[in-house]
Amino acid sequence: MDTDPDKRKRAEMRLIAWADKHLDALYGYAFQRVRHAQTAEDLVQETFLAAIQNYRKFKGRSSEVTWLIGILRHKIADHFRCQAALSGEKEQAEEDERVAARFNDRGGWAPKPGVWEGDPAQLAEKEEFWDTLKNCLGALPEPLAHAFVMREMEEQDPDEVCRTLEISSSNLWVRLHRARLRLRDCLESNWFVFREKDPK
Amino acid sequence: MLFTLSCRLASQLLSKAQDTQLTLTERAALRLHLLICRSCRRFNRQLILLRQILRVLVARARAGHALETPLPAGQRRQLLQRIGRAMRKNI
Repeated sequence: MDTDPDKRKRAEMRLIAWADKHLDALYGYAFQRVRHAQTAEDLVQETFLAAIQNYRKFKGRSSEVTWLIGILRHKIADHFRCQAALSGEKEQAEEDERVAARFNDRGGWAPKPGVWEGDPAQLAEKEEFWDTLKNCLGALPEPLAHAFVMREMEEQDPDEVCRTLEISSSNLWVRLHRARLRLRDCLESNWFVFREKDPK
Repeated sequence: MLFTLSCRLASQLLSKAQDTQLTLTERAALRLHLLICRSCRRFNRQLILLRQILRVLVARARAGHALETPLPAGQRRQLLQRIGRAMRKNI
């Protein structure tokens, strides 16, 4: 705590400029994962506070923004952990029906998956593709989205995801399968052109 | 069970294979099914492609390159002010 008001003012300005510099990267990262503006803002604020309190631990081994994102990732995991306690099994039955409707009564695809074309690196470059993917992720129900985001966007081990969400591994497989089916359908109808009129 | 694997079940196994090692029986059943099922082969390629795309996007986001700024200017300004106030209390 500094008592010299000028010095203090300068320190504040430096901190704000610093937050300003990293704000977009952090907010973008958080928003993609929690899909909720207010929550993303809270997580970003908590990240900056934790960062100034622990700045001594920043060793400069990574870039500053990478270090900040590392802190943010812990905050995101904490958030999911709290949310997990709240989410119930209500949507379960509805989801079961949805998956069943995706297949015919003999368990075959209905409709069948189309052909996707595109190079991953090129697709990832395209902002419109990213927008489509974001919308598709945004349409997932929370329990599916949390599992998918932790697994695919936070790249956690399945065991770790299960611990955070407090679910069994079989429950995780079910959630990820559902999430992937939904994303697949959403991406196919909104991005990849279904090229083939399948004759049967 | 080997020959009666439905696409629905196959899609579950293909998804699971993205996350964990399948059992021998599961792998054998899946391999047979994929031999005869073009739709499931497609689904599998789509899962792989989806993961590859996400890997690229995630690596980029983690290095601090947000692909876009989803923050409208007004919201951004308010957020920055709020963070400034919070930090002021903590320095």
